[in-house]
Amino acid sequence: MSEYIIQTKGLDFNFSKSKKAVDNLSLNVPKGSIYGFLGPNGAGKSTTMRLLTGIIPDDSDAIEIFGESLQKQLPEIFNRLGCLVESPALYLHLSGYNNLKYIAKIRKVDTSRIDEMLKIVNLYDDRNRKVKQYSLGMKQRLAIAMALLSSPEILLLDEPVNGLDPNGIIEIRKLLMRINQELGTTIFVSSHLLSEIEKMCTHVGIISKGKLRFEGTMRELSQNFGQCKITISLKNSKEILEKIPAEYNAIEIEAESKISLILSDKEMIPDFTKKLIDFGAEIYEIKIQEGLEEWFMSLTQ
Amino acid sequence: MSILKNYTTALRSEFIKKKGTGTYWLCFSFGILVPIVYFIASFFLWEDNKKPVNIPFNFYEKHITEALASFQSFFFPLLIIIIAAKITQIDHKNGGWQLMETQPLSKFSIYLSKLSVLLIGNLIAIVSFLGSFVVLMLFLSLLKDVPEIVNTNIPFGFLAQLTIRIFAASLFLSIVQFVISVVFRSFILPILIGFFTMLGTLILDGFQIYKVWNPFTILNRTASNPTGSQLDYFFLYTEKISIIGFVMVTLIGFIWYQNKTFKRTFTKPKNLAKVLGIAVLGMLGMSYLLNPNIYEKHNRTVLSGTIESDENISKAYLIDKFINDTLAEIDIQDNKFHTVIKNEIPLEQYYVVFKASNQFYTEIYMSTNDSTNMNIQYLNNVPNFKTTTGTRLAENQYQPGGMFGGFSFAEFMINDNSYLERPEKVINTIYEEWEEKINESDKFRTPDNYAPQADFSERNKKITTINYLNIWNSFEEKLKVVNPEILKNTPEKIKEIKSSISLEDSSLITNESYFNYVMYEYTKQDTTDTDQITKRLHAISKLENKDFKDRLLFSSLKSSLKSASDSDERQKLINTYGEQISNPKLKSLAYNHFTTQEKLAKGNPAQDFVAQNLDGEDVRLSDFKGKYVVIDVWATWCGPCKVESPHFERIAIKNKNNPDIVFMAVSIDKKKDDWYLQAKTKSESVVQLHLSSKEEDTFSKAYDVESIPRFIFIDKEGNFVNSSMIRPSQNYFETIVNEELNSEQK
Repeated sequence: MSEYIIQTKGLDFNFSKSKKAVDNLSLNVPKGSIYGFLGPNGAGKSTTMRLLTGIIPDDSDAIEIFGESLQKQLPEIFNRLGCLVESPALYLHLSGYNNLKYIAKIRKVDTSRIDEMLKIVNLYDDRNRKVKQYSLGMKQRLAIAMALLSSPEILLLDEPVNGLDPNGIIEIRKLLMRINQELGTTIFVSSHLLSEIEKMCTHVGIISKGKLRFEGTMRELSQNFGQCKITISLKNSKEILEKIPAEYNAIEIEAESKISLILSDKEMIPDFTKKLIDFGAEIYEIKIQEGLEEWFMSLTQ
Repeated sequence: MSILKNYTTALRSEFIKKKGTGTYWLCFSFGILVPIVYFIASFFLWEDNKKPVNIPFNFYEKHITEALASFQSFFFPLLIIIIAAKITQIDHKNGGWQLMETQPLSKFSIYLSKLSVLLIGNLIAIVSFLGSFVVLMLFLSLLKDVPEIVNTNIPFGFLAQLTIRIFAASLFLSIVQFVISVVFRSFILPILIGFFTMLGTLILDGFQIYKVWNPFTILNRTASNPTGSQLDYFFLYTEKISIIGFVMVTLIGFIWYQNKTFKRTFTKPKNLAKVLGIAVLGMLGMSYLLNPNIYEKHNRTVLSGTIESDENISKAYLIDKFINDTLAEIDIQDNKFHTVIKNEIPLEQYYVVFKASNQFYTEIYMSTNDSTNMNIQYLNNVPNFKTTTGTRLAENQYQPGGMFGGFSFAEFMINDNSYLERPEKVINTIYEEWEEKINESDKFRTPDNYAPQADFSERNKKITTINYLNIWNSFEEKLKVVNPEILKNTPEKIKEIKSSISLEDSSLITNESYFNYVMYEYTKQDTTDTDQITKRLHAISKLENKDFKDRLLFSSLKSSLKSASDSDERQKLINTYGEQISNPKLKSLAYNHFTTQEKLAKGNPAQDFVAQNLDGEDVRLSDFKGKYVVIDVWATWCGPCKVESPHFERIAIKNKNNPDIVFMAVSIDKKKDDWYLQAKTKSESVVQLHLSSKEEDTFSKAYDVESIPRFIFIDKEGNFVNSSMIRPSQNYFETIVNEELNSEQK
């Protein structure tokens, strides 16, 4: 479907015969989205990134970008695609300015844009210092600047806020969202931080042990997993059950003194607990069974 | 074409990337290092190194030859190793490969652009080397005085060609080192590999083991042949090998880079097929070049050449070394010659003698159906023989290093008598060395990879064998005295060596070693109590092979006639053995020698001759009848004569007040002026005479003057006391003269 700017169809990859790093992965990234690629460490995010950028060759030709096979478009596709894979690749002996100049030369970008870019990532004042003197955050920003330099249609970023302080994280987030809105750039971001993805992305794909567990919009995500299932151990379960208003759904009786129900949000637990106590419940235990974070953590098992 | 566009972009971006790494500055400094050191050394050692210069040469060409060796064998390859590592490390260290692969650049452009950075660095080093060399040498030539004969024009054409040749020679090493540096991420590993391979090559060089496909050896070859091909090719064959090797490894290296891992490159069928295909093609090309060229026979026997000279030379002669027979007379027009030789010429070394104001000659190898071209310079009476080309190109450059090509342990053992007690060991050593040398003897190659023809190699093998048999024979002589038991049966190994040599091989007759060997073998059996010469002649006369027998007889007869003490002996020799020579030409030559020696015998009259003195007056030998005459035959260009003349003069001065004896120096110089200038400065106690060309001919024939200096003692009646005296530097010379003078007084 042409609205998907990146698509993989049953992508497989393994480093060794026994373990598959990427297992039947079918991604669909809509054009103009900020797509968060989420998964715990070792899930296969970086591997997928490297497959998407051709760093790891995909012999099965399962990747389509801009509606066409990736393999056929290498390397010219990089005129329309910018990426930052793994730790930032920067020439430490060159200045920040010269690193950008290097990219500008390759991508045939006018040198005036370099200064512009430096200002956008807040490195203009440090542009003539050698990169080996930059802090981690500065390096990260420079790498992002290098990826953005030619105003690509797609940005692939592998853990872009890795190592940044809270301010830095916010700045990058703002930057990415701005270019997405102003330029319509599709941004594919991988991260293991759920909070980041939640704040920035329009779409999300969740990967674990090489397999895709979920793909959809943020709304769909919160609908499926935003709700919170709790189990309550209490003495007088039958009595209280009758008293709980109908608005709370999916009430189940687990056992003699155990009921479970689903709240639309974890945040509602304190209020609900108060209500139960008002009803006269004698509560032994309230346990959260499923939430996005729990579900997410279970993936690491 | 998009590949090319990509490439220039990639290359330009590479230049940004290497800013601040000092890569090209390093190339530049390595280039100027050797010339600076050479300049300083030459400056301070100028006076010490001054040698008399007779042959013109180009100042820059000569000095570059000396400086090039250290650049090519050490500094330049070291630079290449370092630069290849530096260039690739920029990306290895910074994750640059991945960065480049996520840019709109084809992998081939990335690969090629980095390679180009390396090659441009090479060019910078070469140009800075040659350029700084020329500048510094120019400076040197202005500071110091350079002999006039030396050409100080800057040879731009030569330097341009040399630049391209050195660059071509460096290609193979550069790509190999580049691929190693790309494929191995470590900084130190490629440097170690390169450095130790370079050291290994230098060490093997010391043992004279060369592998011409070794990239380091290829660089060394260009340095040892700065003037390049002897056959006017632009490149040496080693440089061509470098180019082919470069293309081959560039392609294979790229496939490896493209596929990242060794496994993917060499196990996946598609890749393996490509790699093997390229490797096979490359190897085919290289083995074609490595295969030695051997000339085929021509359809005629041709001797041609050009002479660069300030004189007009009109004749030359091809002369057999053995009989001194003139095989061909060569007409020279406008100092060029091209003669077809009609007679059969066996493979030998011959003299080619040129008649100029002073005669000069050289030796060349030739045989029937060879075409030989000589390139000669003859300026200021100094001959300079450049490369002789033609079908015997390799033969005429072949120079075995001494009799045994260097140190021979066997020879050492023979001379050291302590080994007499261990004859087994000596025999084994002789055998092993012989085997080794035989296998090596056809390994010689010219700079253009030409090898000698098969007949020449065969001949060399035989001569090597003979040399070893000769030292065995001298050892055998010693063993006869100390340990005769062991000689009852010829040792097996010695037998084997002997079996490869015939005792009647006429192609080897001019070889002194072979002659000695044959003589030894034949006279070994003769235990009668006669002298060696008689034993020899006796043995020769028993030979069956006529040709061989004739030559041997002739040569032995010639020397024994000369050394015979009186007429009776001579008569006996010529009667017994002269008759046995069946070849009429040789026979008559032998008889001529007999006659000449007879004429020169003691008591026979010395032939009269006329010469000119310092005042230009005619002087005859007969003018001095009634006095003893002692003659020193010499020429201004004769080195040994210069050694003898002071001794001669001393004796003359001693006897200057003796009216019964006159000392004279007779010069055979072609140029009278040369003689005059030197003769004028000599002592007046020696009468200085000069023979005109015509008289010189007759004189030489009559007195059998084959070499100078030559000393002749004639008595008062004009008869010979001794037609060939020992040299005056020997004390006995004076004794002979005094004895003769004293006996007269009695």
